[in-house]
Amino acid sequence: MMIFCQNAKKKWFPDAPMDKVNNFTVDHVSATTQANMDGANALAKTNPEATSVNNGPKILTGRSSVYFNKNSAFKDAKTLFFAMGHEFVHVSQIAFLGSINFLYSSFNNELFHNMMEFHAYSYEFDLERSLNSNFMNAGSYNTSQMMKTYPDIFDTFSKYYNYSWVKTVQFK
Amino acid sequence: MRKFIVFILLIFTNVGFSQNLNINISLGWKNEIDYLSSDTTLVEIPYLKITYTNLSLIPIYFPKKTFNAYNLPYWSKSIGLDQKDKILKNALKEKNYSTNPYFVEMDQSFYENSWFVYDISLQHKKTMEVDPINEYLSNIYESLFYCMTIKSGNINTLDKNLFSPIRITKESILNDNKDYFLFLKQNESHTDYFNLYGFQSLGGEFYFSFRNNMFFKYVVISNFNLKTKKYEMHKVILPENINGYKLYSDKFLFNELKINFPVIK
Repeated sequence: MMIFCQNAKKKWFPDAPMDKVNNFTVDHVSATTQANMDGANALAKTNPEATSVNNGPKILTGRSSVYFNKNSAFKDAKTLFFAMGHEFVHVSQIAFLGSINFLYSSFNNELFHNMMEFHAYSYEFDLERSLNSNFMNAGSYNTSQMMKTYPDIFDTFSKYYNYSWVKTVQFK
Repeated sequence: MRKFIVFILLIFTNVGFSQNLNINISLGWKNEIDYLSSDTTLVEIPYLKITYTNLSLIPIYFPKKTFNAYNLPYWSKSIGLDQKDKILKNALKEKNYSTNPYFVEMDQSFYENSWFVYDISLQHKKTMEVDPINEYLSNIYESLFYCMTIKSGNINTLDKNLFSPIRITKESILNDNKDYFLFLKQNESHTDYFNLYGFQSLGGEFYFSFRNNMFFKYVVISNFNLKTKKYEMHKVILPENINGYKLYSDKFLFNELKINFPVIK
């Protein structure tokens, strides 16, 4: 499963931001990460990395780990393709947050998580549209609240089509 | 509810260092109205008690090691709150399926940090992956915070960032930021309570303690630099003395509390 995953990534996402990824795996998934994915019916999960400097508050480093759900992500090739695209958006979002020393405590709230999901699903829908696939139900999001609370970050996240790796994505 | 705690172990650490300040971590219970119940059914809620005792011969002051709001551990900024009472029900459905114990790092660098929970089998490093259990706990406590705010009638404060002191001066320490500091005379104690309902709801084995055994002469706060578009950390030196209370900047005694909450499926 893991070898298939790695080969698929190379073919579909040749310029994926792997320099920002610590783990990219389906085999070594912690019990809580697996439970989190199963409970949320998620195909994959991206966990950020945090650090603290000078006994100060924890900040995001910009690096993350991507875990795939062995129980659902490998249903078929397209499912895995969409899941990878979705998670690579999270990898790029977290890389941006790391670049501005974003506080872990600010990241760790529901509205912020929903904002990250909203943009990752937006990209996933773009991929699905390009392959004439059925759109999955991603739930509803309070985007006006997101824009009001995090105007600059919302704007940055909404330009996911500018990530350099997006230009070479191809399902083959 | 009390019977659900399978065992509690106190491990005293750090004995032999300076003993001018002690922080004791213990467990207590309070009868409260069930958060999810529409009637007035009382349930026993576990509380972590953090007691600071001045063992020195002089009055001292210092920033607290960890903060609460409505006796809840401060987990997230709790902004953009929207129907959190409904979300609480969903958040409480999450369970901790990990068989590994977790360490609950309660150190908060002034007000801008939340508790950080990680698998105790992982070697502690300065840089660590964020375990999803932090997300579960954040959702539960953010929702509880909303419920408590509604209950207290302080709904207008929801739009404000409750943890945003602008600057730290003698005056602000005594006024706007007074909740973040403690002033203790000789042999005087102060106890803060932290609601563990979120941990109990998830279930699992948790070690509550501090990672760092020091109080510093400074606190670190962050500012967003509009030019660089980055958050920057600044050390703010604290006054040596305020109204006869000397700044405590030394090691302290503390313990570790292990609590096992069974996972109720």
